[in-house]
Order: sequence, then structure tokens, then C-alpha cells
Amino acid sequence: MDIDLVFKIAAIGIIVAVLNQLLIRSGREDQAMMTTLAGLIVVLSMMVKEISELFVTIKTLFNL
Amino acid sequence: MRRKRFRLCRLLAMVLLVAAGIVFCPAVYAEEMDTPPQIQEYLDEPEISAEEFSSMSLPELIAALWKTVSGEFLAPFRLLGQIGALLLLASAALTFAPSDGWRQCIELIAVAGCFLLSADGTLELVGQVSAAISDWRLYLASFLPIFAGVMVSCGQSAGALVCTGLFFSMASLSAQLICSVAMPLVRAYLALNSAAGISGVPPLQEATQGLTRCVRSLLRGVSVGFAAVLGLQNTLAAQSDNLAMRAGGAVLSSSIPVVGAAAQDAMASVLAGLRVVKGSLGFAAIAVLAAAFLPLFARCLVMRLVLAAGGLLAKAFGLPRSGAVLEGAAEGAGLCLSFLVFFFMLVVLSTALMIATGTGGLFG
Amino acid sequence: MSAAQIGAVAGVAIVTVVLAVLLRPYSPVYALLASLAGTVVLLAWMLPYAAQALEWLENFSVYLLREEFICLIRAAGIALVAQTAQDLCKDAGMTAMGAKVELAGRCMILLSALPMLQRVVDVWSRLLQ
Repeated sequence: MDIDLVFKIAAIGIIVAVLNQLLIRSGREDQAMMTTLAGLIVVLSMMVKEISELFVTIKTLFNL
Repeated sequence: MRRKRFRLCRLLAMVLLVAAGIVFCPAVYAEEMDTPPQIQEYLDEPEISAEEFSSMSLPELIAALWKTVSGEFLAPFRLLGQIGALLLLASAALTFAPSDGWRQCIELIAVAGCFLLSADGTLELVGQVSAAISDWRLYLASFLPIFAGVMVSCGQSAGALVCTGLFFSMASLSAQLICSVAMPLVRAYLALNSAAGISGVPPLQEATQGLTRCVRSLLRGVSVGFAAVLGLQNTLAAQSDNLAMRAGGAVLSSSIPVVGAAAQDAMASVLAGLRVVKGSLGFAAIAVLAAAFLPLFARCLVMRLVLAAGGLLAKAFGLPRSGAVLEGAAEGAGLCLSFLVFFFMLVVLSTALMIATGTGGLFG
Repeated sequence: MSAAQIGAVAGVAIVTVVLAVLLRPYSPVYALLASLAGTVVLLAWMLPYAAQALEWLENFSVYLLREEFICLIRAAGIALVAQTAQDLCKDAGMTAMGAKVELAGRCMILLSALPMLQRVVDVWSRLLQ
């Protein structure tokens, strides 16, 4: 668990945004949308693991 | 002629014998008088006698008092430790969620915890005070007739009437009032106070404050009234007793021709002995009541101080509602203390008054 | 925890904020995800230290009943998680969602405090007999 996660997400976000713009400009909007979705899925899969780890830790710590 | 002289001598001898009997027997009787068994029972009951008490020095007195009350400090200080731990935990929990909405939720738990911790102690205290007052009332019911009897033998018949009449009925009435009206009011106050703390509704808080003020002013009025009436009645009774004694003494010394003055002196020594018995008996009753009163008084006082300290601690930790609940509990303990002291002082001061009056009588 | 660690925490927070603000005009969803990631990272970083503090506080649970201690700690945990979610919703502009999360958190705290409140009601019935 490190700040690398934030940088990775930011990087994916920037790449996806740039690709989105390029694809929209070249008229392939549906591909642009699919790129955005794919990026989202990748980011979420990275985040979900971290978030679940965090909630398990909180659960054990606070006796929830 | 001879017969007449013989008769005169016989008459004189009889008169002298009777005079001797009147003069000497009461004196002998006074010296070797055994107190009746019921009186002796009461005189033997306390651990300390009047003579021992009057000869005690101040350090000895303080040591004896400390021995009676030293066991009462453990439980309240343990309670203070528990309250402190709860408040520390609550303030630590608050650091995890500092915003207002969460603060209320966490403080609710802290308030409930403080109330649960203090409730056991205060409930027990209320029960003990009620039990002590009813026990003392029963003790007085058996003791006062004997005390009144001794007062009558000292020549204070009006004083004895006040003792068994006004004083006993007042003591019984106040004991009854305290046990059946005042103590339930204190319990209702404790419940109302905690409800105000848990709900945080302002009108409830004002209601609890109003209830305390009411109870305190009632207690104040009743104690002033009792003191005034009892003091007045005792003084009037003592004056009428003194008058009766003087009149009786004058009749005695003037009516019996030869030995009236000697008879008067003999009666004085008997009455002095009886007054000592009266004083010892009164002191014995006070000592028995004080032996039961002092530990309970210490317990109430320490509990009140501990709860007030807990309230201050809660406010310092930033938990005002918990502080209000703890201070209310301290107020409840203070009310118990007030009622206890009121009843004890009523009994002790009246007994002391009855011992003190009648010493400046005919023969003093 | 040494006091210098606060510098690292502040650094992570500032970097996340900058990145989120950078991404917002291009894709708001990634800005939100970036700030979520930053929050998760910071929380995960801090938890071991909170665990130390909670272990120390557990020493005091010998004075209290276990129930009261657990109740308070649980309330703190629920408040923490719910507050985090609520703030994220507010950041995304969804105040309604945030309010519901807060409501859910409060209900759960009340539920976990229910045994204690039951004991309070029992004491009231003893007082008012």
C-alpha cells in the first residue's frame, strides 16, 4: 500500500483521457467509450483489492 | 407522770429512727444503687462510655473516628477510576470522528456508561440511608420510654412528657416522611437526571433542577420548624419542672418539723445520682446512633465528592452531557446526606437538650 | 510514530489533491478515483499506529465492563468508515448519498449501543419501583 497506487491511477486516467480525445477527434466515439470503460475496470480492479484489505483491517481493529 | 414521760420518750425514739431512716437509707441506696436491667442494657450497648469520652484527648478522638470511617473509601475511589477510564475511552473514540453528528452518538454511549456506573452506588446509598433511619426510629421507640422514666425520677415530669410526646412523634413522623416520601423523590430525581442527559432535551434538565430546589427548600423549612417548636417546648417544660421542684422542696422542708432540711439534702443527693444516670443514658443513645451514623455519613460524603470530581473530569474531557449526569448523581448523593444529617441532628440535639435541662433545679 | 511521519502524510495528501485537480477537467471520474485511492492509502498507512493506541486503551478495559469498551470502540470504527464515505460522496457532489451514509452509520451505532440502553432502562425500572 503506497503512494504508487495514486500515481498509477493518475497515469491511467491521463492516458485514458488522451486516448479518449484522440478517438473522439478521429470520429470513433464508441471506441472512445470502450477505452474509458476499460480504463475504469482496470482502475477499479486495482482499487477493490486495496479497499477490501483496508476494511478487513478496520473490522478486526474496531471489533465491528 | 412517769407513763407520760415514757410515752414521750418512745415517741421521740420513733421519730429519731424514722429521721435516721429518711436521712441515711436514700444516701446508702444512692451509693449502692444498682440500675435496673433495662437501663443497664442501654448503658452497656455502646463501645465507649460517657466518662471515657469526656477524658479522651483530640488525637485519640480523631484516631477513633478514623478507625470507624476508614473502610468507606475503597469503593468510591474504585468508582472514580472506572469513570475516569470510561471518559478517557470516550474522548479517544471522539478523536476518530470529530464532527458534530458523530460526537452526539459517541457521547450518548458515554452518558449511558456514566449513568450505569454511578447508578449502582447511588441506589445502594439511598437504600442504606432509608434502612438506617428506620432502624434508628425503632431504636428510639424502645429507648425513649426508658429515658422518659429516668427523667420522671429526676423530677422532670413535664420534660418526660415532651420526650415521649412531641419529640417521639416528631422523630417518627420525620423518619416516615424521609423513608416514604423523600427517598423515592431522590430516586425519581436520579432517573429524571439520567433521562435528561441521555436525551439532551433542555426542558428535562430544567425540570431536574427545579426538583432539587424544591426538595432542598422543603428540608430547610421542616428542620427550622422542628428546631423552633422542640426548643420552645423543652424550655417551657424545664421551667415548669423547676417550679414544681422548688414548690415541692419548700413544702418538704417546712412541713416536716425536725428533719425537713436533712430530708431535703438527702433527696438532693439521690436526684444528683439519678441525673448522672440520665446523662449516661442519653450519651449511650447518642453513641449508639453515632456509631451507625459516622460510616454512612462518610460513605455519602465520599460518594458525593467522587461523583462531583467525575463530573468535572467529564467536562474537562469535552463531554458536557456526561458531566451533567455525573453532577446530578452527586446532587442525589448530597440529598441523601442532607436527610441523614437532618435526622441524626434532630435526635442528637433533642437528646442533648433533654440532658442539659433540669440541671439547674431545686437542689442544684 | 515519529513526528516526521506527519510530513509524509501531508506530502501524500498534497500529491493526491494535485493529481485529482489535474484530472478533473478531463475525466471527473478518474479524479474521484484518484482521491479515493489517496484516502485509502492514507488510512491504511495510519491504521497500525491507531492499533497501538487502541491496544494501550484496552488496558483500561479491565476497569470497565468489556461490553462498554467494545461499544465505544465499535462506535469509533463505524464513525470513521461512515465519515470517509460521506466525505467522498460530498466531494463528488452527491450530498444526498452522503446524508444516507451518515444516517446508516448513526443507526448502526445506536444498534450496537442497544444492550447498554437496555441496561439503562432496567436501572430506571429499579429506581422507580
